[in-house]
Amino acid sequence: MAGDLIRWFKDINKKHVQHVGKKCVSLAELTRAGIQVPPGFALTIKANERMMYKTGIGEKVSQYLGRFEKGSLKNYSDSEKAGNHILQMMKGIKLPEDMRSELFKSYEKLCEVSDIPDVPVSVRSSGPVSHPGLFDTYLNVQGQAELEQKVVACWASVFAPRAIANRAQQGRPVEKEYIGVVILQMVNARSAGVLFSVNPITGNLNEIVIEGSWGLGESVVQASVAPDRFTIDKRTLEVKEKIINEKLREVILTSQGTVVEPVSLERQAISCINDDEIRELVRLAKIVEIHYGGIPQDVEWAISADYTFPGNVFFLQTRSVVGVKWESKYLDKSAGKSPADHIADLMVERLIG
Amino acid sequence: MVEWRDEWRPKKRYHSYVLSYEDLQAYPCWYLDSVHCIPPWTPLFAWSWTHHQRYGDLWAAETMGFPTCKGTDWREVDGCAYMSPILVTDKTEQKERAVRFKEHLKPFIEDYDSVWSGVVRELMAKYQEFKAFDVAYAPNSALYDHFDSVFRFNNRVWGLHSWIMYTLSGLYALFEDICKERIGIDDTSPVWHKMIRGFDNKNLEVDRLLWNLYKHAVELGVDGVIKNNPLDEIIPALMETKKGDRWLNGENGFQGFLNEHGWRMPRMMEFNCKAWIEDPSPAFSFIRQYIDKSGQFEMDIRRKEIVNERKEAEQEILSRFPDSQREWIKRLMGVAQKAGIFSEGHNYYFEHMSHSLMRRAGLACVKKMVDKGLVEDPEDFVFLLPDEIRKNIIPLCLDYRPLISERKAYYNEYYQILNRPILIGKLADDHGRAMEYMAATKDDVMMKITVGVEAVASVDFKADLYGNPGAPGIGQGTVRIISSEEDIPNIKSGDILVATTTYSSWTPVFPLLEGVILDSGASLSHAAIVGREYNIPVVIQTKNATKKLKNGQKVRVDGSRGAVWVLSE
Repeated sequence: MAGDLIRWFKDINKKHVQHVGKKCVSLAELTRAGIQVPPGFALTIKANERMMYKTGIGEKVSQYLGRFEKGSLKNYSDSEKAGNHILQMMKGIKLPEDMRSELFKSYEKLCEVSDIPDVPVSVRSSGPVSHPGLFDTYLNVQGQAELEQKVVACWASVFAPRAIANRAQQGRPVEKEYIGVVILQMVNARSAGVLFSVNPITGNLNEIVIEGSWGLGESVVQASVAPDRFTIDKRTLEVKEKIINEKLREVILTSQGTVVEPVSLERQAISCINDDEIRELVRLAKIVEIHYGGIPQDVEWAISADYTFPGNVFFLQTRSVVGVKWESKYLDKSAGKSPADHIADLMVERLIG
Repeated sequence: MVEWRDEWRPKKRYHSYVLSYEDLQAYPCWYLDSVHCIPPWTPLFAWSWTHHQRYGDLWAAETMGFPTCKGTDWREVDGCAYMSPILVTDKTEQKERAVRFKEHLKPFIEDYDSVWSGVVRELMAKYQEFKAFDVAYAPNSALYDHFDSVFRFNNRVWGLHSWIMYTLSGLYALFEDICKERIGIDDTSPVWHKMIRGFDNKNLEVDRLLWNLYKHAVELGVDGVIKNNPLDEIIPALMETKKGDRWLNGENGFQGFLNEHGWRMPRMMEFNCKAWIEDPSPAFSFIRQYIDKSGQFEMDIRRKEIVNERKEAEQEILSRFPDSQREWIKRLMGVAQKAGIFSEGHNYYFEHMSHSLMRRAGLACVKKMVDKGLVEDPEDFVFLLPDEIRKNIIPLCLDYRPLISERKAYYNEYYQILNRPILIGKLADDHGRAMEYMAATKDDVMMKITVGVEAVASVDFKADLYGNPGAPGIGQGTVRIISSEEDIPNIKSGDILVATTTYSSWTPVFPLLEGVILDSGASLSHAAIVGREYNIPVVIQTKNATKKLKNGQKVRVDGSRGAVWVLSE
């Protein structure tokens, strides 16, 4: 069945979380909200399951893990041992023939769309439950062979020691976890970073906070440099605070892959995005937040070096902000009350709250 | 101490709710109600407003326990009404009131339809009783009682009116606030306009009946009689033929329509013009306009589509809230939709019915005085106050002619003064603070129905006039500036109606229009609601369309963007 193994973003919507995982759905929803994301497609969760079954590796992993005593994998030493062993087992596994040809066909199409032969892509895990940082992400993957290898590696990363331990600790079956994989054209980022549509420190819903640095987003996400930081009034779009840090390193894209380079002296202490770009990021973030029913969003963004403003602004991911206590006057307090009770309370609050 | 200024001081103090020196000291500011009383009212109507409407307003706010306001106080200055809110500022008192307020709100949220049908039943039962009273043959004592009951019942009418209006407008505004904060739409957004249209109301039902009467006249071949005779000779001319008689008195005939729906005032907030049931000329004018337009009833053309669009808009709005919140959001949206239906349809049950019945009672009493030569014309009843009428109805000995001619002279004098001060009192020169004081009531009736919010043009469409979107769509036509109901018969099919504001008695003319442009208005104003139902673009809050545009100009109206372009002079 078409779309069973591979799906393009336009054919995905928010009902497909169990089908392609959260990151894919988030990219697809961004597309639907009218936000520019890099072109790409997804290998489904089912494809993962098929691969494990058809190649027989699933069975082998299962048998191997059966040797461990129940609960022992919670421990670092056992999960470390098991994980590294399975990663070895899975190295060099090939995709089933039909899946490989479909993957290559889709990749060719992506090359056509972007008009770049062997277009560089990122290969990212997309689980039905989000586990930020738990599974692998590969940047700047080029050509069919490397793509296949990284897809398998991405699926193998659910058996990395930390992932096995995580499942064991949560009492989930350790021998299997299926995830989707996102194949996304690399953005040759001049600047990149994250954006919170709520102030993550104060919980103020009327402020947007942007953090960014030169080059690919990796440097900000992995906190290897102190990023520039902008606080913007969501309603007036006025930049209330601008902190420009000294940005010493940047991750850049080369034909050899991503490399960490020193930032040239004259760029170290200047803002990595200009005011127009700030306003555009805020405008787009507001659209996304509205698209998600007003739930504050945590967005990864990039400004491409290859295009001109505003076509150079890309969103790479969005998810609901977690761990920030934000207040909604309207939505938070409805739990456990009848509609009439809740609405009447809101009316009173609106008048004298 | 605030001292009188010449333009503030009433020329006469003929009842106790005429603005007094004490009023000037005790209230920070008095605000002109320009929506209802320009041009100025007759003395009896001004009296009724400052008594009945005032009572109803205070009764409703007290009964429901509105937390921030005890209602609006009212005074008269030379036929014009001024209002001043009675704020509740003490926090403890606000909280105490809020307890009552919450309980009051619940039935509205849980089952508004029951609340509304209960009110309609109560009103219609009373009106039936009043209508059944034979004013021509009743003894004077019974007439006295009748007059008393009809006027007293107006307190109840206004009480129920404010009771529902404050509640629904508040819930409507709450829903808008939530949509603004959470999903970025407000009551100028196209999806919002789609969400609140596609509903029937009583006034639209009357339009449809009028349209059916026009169709019926064409079927019977009597449309020529209606079109070619002077308005007051149409009925006699119709009676001459069998078919004409059938149109008048047969099944679904004109007379039956008038008996049921003719309790309707050409100027809704006044007593001094004949109700349709006394003089059906306005109904004939509308039917004539329909004859000129012909074709299909405007509202039917896209009705199905509009209703479907509404359902889509409802889904669209709901889908943007998290699953866990949809139940109550849906409920609140349902009540917000009722606000539009009530805001437009209620005039039928409240103002039109009660004012035409009050007029009938007043006329009947004063007619007795005319019979005795104590008053010259029954229509002069609008220059007497209720107590003066009561005082004379049984004795029938007081010669009111001098009093009436004095009041009439007073009325004729102030009727010419249209340029009334907007603010009177301490804050008169401080518009900003005066508005702040008014805003502290958190009265959404002001914001959503009568006054509205100033338009802010954010995008330059190279238009000649900007306002707020009131009803979506684009229309093109000829400017027709309407300053009172007397101009209504001049409207032709394809016109663009331009006015300061519109009234529900103008509704039947909407099928003829290509668009509406208002100086004032908000999303629950009459023109915006009716425009949405008829699928006519409406631009509100242009401030000065009536001054900037000229009759006969061709214009394009964009009701989705809130813009107007002049195409040719």
